[in-house]
Amino acid sequence: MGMAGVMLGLPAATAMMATAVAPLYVSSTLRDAVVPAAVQQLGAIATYARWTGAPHTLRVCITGQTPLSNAMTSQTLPDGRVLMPQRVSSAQTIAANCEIAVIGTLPSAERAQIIRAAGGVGLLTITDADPACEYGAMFCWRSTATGVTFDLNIAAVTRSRVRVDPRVLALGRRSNGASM
Amino acid sequence: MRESVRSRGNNLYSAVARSFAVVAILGVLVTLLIGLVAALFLQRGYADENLRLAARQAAYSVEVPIVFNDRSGIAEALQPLVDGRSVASIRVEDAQGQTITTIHPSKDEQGLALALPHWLLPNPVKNPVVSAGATIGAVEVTGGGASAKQQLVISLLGAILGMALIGFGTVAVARRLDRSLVKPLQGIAAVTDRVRDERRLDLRVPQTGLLEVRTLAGDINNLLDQLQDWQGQMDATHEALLHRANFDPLSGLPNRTTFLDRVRETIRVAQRTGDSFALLFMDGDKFKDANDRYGHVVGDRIIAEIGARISPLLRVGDVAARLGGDEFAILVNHLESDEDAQSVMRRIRDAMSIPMRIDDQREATISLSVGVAIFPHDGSDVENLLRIADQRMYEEKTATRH
Repeated sequence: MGMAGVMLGLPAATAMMATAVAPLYVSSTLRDAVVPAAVQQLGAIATYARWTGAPHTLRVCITGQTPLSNAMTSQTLPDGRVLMPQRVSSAQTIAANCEIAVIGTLPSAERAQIIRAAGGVGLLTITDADPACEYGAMFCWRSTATGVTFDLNIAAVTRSRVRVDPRVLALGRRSNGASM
Repeated sequence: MRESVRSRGNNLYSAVARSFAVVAILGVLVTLLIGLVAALFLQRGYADENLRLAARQAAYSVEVPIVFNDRSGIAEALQPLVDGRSVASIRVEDAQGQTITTIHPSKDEQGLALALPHWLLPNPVKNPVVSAGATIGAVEVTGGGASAKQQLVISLLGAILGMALIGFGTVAVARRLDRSLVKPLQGIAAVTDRVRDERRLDLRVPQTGLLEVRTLAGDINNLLDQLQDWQGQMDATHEALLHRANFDPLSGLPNRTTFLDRVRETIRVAQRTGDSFALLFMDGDKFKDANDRYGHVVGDRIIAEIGARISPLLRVGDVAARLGGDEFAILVNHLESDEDAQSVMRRIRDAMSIPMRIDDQREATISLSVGVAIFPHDGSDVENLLRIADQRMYEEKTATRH
C-alpha cells in the first residue's frame, strides 16, 4: 500500500505527487451493479465500529462524485443505531459534523484536507476512488469480478479514534479478498 | 516305578504357574479396563468441553464474515479450528437455518480405521452466531474421534506390554518354583520310590530347595535312619533266632532237626543222581562217668571239644551234628566206596585218641563208638539209616566192652 504520501502529510509534497503522479480525478471503482452491496458493506463496517460517546445516530457525509450518493438511504443497524446519509460540499465541516465520511472523486487538495482533518478524531473514512488505497482513507472499496470488497489503510485506521473490530480488519486485510 | 511327577496333568508346577498367570492377567485386565473406561470418560469430558470451546470460538470467528456475507472469510476463519485434533467438521448456517457452508479438515487424517462406539464421541455442539444482539446464524461443531482412538491405542499397547511383562514374570516365577520346590520334591519322590521298590533303607533323600522342603527331606531322612536301625536290629534278632533254632549252642554243630532235614535233602538229591552216602552215628564212651565225676561244666566242655575236633575232619558237603546228650552224627556225602566212610571213622577215632585237658591238673580221653549206615544199601529213609547206624554203633560198643 502506498502510504508514503499520507505519512509525509506535507501539503507541498502531496501537491507535487498529485500533479506529478496521480491523476487529478479518479473515477469510482464501483460498478453500478455492486453499489447496493457497497451500501450494505458500509452498514456492516459501521456495525463493528465504535465511536467515542457512542452516538446513536451515525451521520454519513458523502462528498465528491460517487454513485453512492444516490444509493445511500438511512438504515438501521442490527444494534439499533441509525445510519443517516447526507450530502456535504464543504470539506472543512466534515470532521466536526460527521461520524463517517464517504469520499468520492475529489480534487486531491480537498481529499487531502479531509484526510488531514480525520487524523486523530472520530471520523471513519471510506472511499470508492482510491484503487491502491494509498491516499489515506481508512477503507477503500474495490470491485471484484463477482462483487465488492474493501482494502485497508492500516496507518489511517491506527491514527483514527474510531475503533474497528479486528475481525473486520482481518477480512479487509486479505489481498485476494472475498466477494459480495 | 510311578510315572514322573512332571508328566502328570495336574501337578504342582503347572498349578502354581497357571494360577499365578490367571491372577496376574485378571489383575491387569481389570486394572486396564477400569483405567481405560475412566480415561475414555475423562477424555470424553475433555472432548465435550473442547467442542464447546471450539463452538464458541467458531461462532465468534464467523460473526463478521457472516455479516459481510463473505463465504471465503468464513472458511478462512474456521479452517484453523477444524485442522486441530478435536474437531471433525463445522457447519455454518444462516438465521433461517440454511447451511451456508461446511468446513472439513484440509487434509483428511483418519488415523486408525476404527469405528468408535457412539458414546465415546462427543455430541455435536451448536452455538448461535450473534451480531449486535441479533442472531444471524449458527455454527454446529462435530467432534472427531482422534483423541479417543489415541487413548484406545495407548491402552491396547499398555495391555500388550502388561501381558508381555506377566508372561516373563510367570516364566520367571515358574522357573523359580521349579528350582526351589518342584525339583526338590521330585528328588525326594525319586528316592522314596527306590526305598520302597528296592527296599533300600540305606538311601537318603537330597536336602535342597525351600526351607520347608529341606525340613521335610530332613524328617524323611530321620525316619529312614530309624527304619534302618530297626531293620538292622530285626535282622540280627532274626539271625540269632535262626541260629538258635538250627544249631546246638554247646558244640556249635547243627542240631538234630537241622541234621535230619539235611539228610532228607541229601536222600532226595542222591535218589536223583544215584549217588551214595554214609550216615555215621557216634556215642561217647564213658561220657556219663566223666560227667558224673567232673561235673556238668566239664561235661559241657567235653561236648564242645568233641564238636571242635570233628568239624575239621569234614569235607565239603559233609555235615556233622549233635543229636543230643553225647550222641553225634555225621553225614559223609558223595561216597566213592565204602572205604571212604571207614576212612572218616578212622580219622575220628584218631582225633579222639588225643587226651582232653579237663582242668589245670587233669586230662581225660573220651573215645567214641561209631556205627555207619550206607545209603542206598542200608535204607532209603532217614529213620532206617539212623536206626541201622545206631544199631551198629551199639554192636561196636558192646563188642569193645567185652
